[in-house]
Amino acid sequence: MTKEDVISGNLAAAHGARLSRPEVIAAYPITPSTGIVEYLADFIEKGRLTADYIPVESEHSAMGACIGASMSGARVFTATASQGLAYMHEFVYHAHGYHLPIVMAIANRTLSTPWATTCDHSDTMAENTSGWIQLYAENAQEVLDTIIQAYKVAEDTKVLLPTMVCMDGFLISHTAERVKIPDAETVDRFLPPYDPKHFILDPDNRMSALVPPRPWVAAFEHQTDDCMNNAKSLIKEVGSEFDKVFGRSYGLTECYRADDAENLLITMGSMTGTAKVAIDELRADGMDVGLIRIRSFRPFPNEELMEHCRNTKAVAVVDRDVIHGIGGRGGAIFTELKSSLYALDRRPSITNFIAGLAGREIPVTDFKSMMKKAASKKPTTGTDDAVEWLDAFQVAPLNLTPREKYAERIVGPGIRACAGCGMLLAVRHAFQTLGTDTVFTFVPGCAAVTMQSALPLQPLVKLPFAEVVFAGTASAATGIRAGLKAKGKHHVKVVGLAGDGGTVDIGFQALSAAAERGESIIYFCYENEAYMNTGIQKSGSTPFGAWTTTTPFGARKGRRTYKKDLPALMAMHKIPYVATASIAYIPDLTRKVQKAAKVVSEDRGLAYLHVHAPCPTGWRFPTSKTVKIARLAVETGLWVLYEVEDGVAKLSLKPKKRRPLTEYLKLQGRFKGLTDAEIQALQKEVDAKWKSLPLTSFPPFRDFFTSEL
Amino acid sequence: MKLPLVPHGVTVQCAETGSWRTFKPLQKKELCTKCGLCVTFCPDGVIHMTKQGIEIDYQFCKGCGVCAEECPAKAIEMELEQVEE
Ligand SMILES: Cc1ncc(C[n+]2csc(CCOP(=O)(O)OP(=O)(O)O)c2C)c(N)n1
Ligand code: SF4
Ligand code: SF4
Ligand code: SF4
Repeated sequence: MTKEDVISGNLAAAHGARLSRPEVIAAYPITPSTGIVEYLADFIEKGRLTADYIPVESEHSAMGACIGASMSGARVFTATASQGLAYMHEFVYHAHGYHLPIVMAIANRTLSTPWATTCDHSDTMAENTSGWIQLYAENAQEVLDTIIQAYKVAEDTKVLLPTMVCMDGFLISHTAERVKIPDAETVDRFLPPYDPKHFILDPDNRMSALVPPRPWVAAFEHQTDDCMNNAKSLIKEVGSEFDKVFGRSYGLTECYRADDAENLLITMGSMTGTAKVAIDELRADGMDVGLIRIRSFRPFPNEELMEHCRNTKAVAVVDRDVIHGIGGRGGAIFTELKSSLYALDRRPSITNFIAGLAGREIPVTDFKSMMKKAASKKPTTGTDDAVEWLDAFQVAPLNLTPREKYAERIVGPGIRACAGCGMLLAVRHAFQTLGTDTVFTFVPGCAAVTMQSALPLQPLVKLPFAEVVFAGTASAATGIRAGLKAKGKHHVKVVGLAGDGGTVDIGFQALSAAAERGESIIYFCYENEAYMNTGIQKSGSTPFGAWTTTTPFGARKGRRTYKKDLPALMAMHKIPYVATASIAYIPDLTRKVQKAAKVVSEDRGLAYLHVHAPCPTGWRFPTSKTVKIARLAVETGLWVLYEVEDGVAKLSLKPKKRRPLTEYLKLQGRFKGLTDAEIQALQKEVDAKWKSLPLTSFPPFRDFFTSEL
Repeated sequence: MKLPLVPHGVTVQCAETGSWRTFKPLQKKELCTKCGLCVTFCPDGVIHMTKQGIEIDYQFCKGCGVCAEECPAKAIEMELEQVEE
């Protein structure tokens, strides 16, 4: 039986995916799409969905795993947004040529720079030549319905193309609406299991993908184009079939009071609801107007739009993106529409409005004035004057007021990190130690987000810095160092700052290479053992048994595999300096920062610091216990303080008598799922680790841990 | 051309995080040994050491309670923040 509930777009997407019964889900957290896969991880743990959920270390791997699973014949699902989609790009392109009907939900978000987590269509528009079908939903109900339909369209042998189901980030993903959730049996009848015949990697049915001879490439591309064309009728057919079963109909476009209208407003996505109100009001005022919403951007409904615009005088097109460098300066729909209408004998005047960038609301009044403005224009074939921007205002000058009390501080007060944040304590002392001859770069994560305050734009850290993309801490730091050297500024210390996720997972490739090349940069990793900034998802550094939103408590209790030991891996790169540190031992931390600074100022190679920095929000403990928990990690022997200098390893501190591990674990909500037996096993591991200290078997080192304090 | 860049050199007017507080750290001056541990461990760095003892900058103190937890002399106590009438 259909259930009705008030749910967010992200939950609606998760239900849509659950009802489509994907067998493999591989995903990576990113705002605002994270919720979708968090819900799916929870469905799986609670037994509501049978699927293999793979919490990969980057979006590149998310799409890689989806492609692998689809090639082996499984139905697959993923979700992402913005930077995540961009980081996937290489594999995104890979999917259409192999005809893999992967369905991916997108919570549309601005693609940097400038950074913004709010909605526009710049992310998916950057992928609009990738051979993926792109369907844009207007509301949460349509998101759920479209995901189910998407599989049916994508898996049809006339189409066999991957499909993005796009919803506006936050505007749909994070707002609650009344949504009808169909029952599983009805959906099962509508959408039978995926039964691929064209491509399966399976010894029982041997097929392989070869690199085709050159002339074949055009043939393959032509085929994708045919499939895309077939998708036009399939989307309509599946939409009306869906209507018969579920009572909601969908097509390539949606028309609202548009029949024979003299003036047309063209929209896409969530803005349409508001735009319809504007149409009603304009009609009440006697204006002859209607609206067309584009639901399928790929394939683009050119024939339908030609039909709609045949007798139209003026069209206002609203684009939530900009295509830089096109002749007429405008957005994606504008460009497509112009070429679609080229074949008409009499073309309407088209005015493009760039609006709603980075989630800026577009109120009814704006739609009304856009439509009026467009209608007042004379029909024209030139388009140079046909683009208007709603938001291009001048940024006001900043009012910088010095604060005497903090004049000597590198990291000022007012940082928007949570109360009791361990990362802030670590970074504050580290930067103060490094001094002002320092430049740093950081990547998305709690440090980057909290140290750059919102409007008015204000730097809360008195060092030159720039945020770069998530995988790029070490590569950008490498370049900054090289650039400064080229400018004769050898003395400037360059720091790359990232969380554990940005370091052990997505950023590891760049870090490992910078280390191996001997780049003289300081890499500072604050260890809070999960992706905190996106809302506590598992990272490669999350410990065994810890709860996160992607390793929830259900059939299994928290993470079931082990933490990656990154400091040890870095030591194996034979770099001049590797050290672990803790926020509970600040003098030790600052001493290690000084050593790292010395290494890079002598141009001797990479210095790697890995600092244990408890997070009350993600680890579930009272804000007052941050330092206490960090200290317990060391006193129980779990977090070992050491440094490896030019291959010589040395313990920085040896607890006189190690405290029992439970003292550390019991203070944190995230470890509530550990059984007594598991705690005992973990204690044994810690004991065994200390028994083998000093370690002599670590290959790259002469005397690992030989000198004791 | 304008970029979203900001000049440096001053620590500027910024979000006054003091309004986040639920609990307020209150010092018991007579117990303070001026050891400075709270100054070190305050994550936000808003405790200042003066000749007279510590000074908490309530404009920015978020009330996390780390100072009270870490003070070996029990010279800081957390109290429920009084809402101004
Ligand atoms: C390519 C890419 N994928 C995903 C994200 C989303 N994202 C932003 S911050 C973040 C988590 C950062 O985790 P971590 O590096 O551990 O730092 P923390 O948030 O814990 O401080 C993620 C996944 C992104 N910005 N870019
Ligand atoms: S979530 Fe954790 S790491 Fe992030 S700001 Fe809050 S306390 Fe700090
Ligand atoms: S930690 Fe306690 S004793 Fe030490 S300076 Fe702070 S208030 Fe005084
Ligand atoms: S309560 Fe927290 S923020 Fe306030 S002074 Fe104490 S340690 Fe600093």
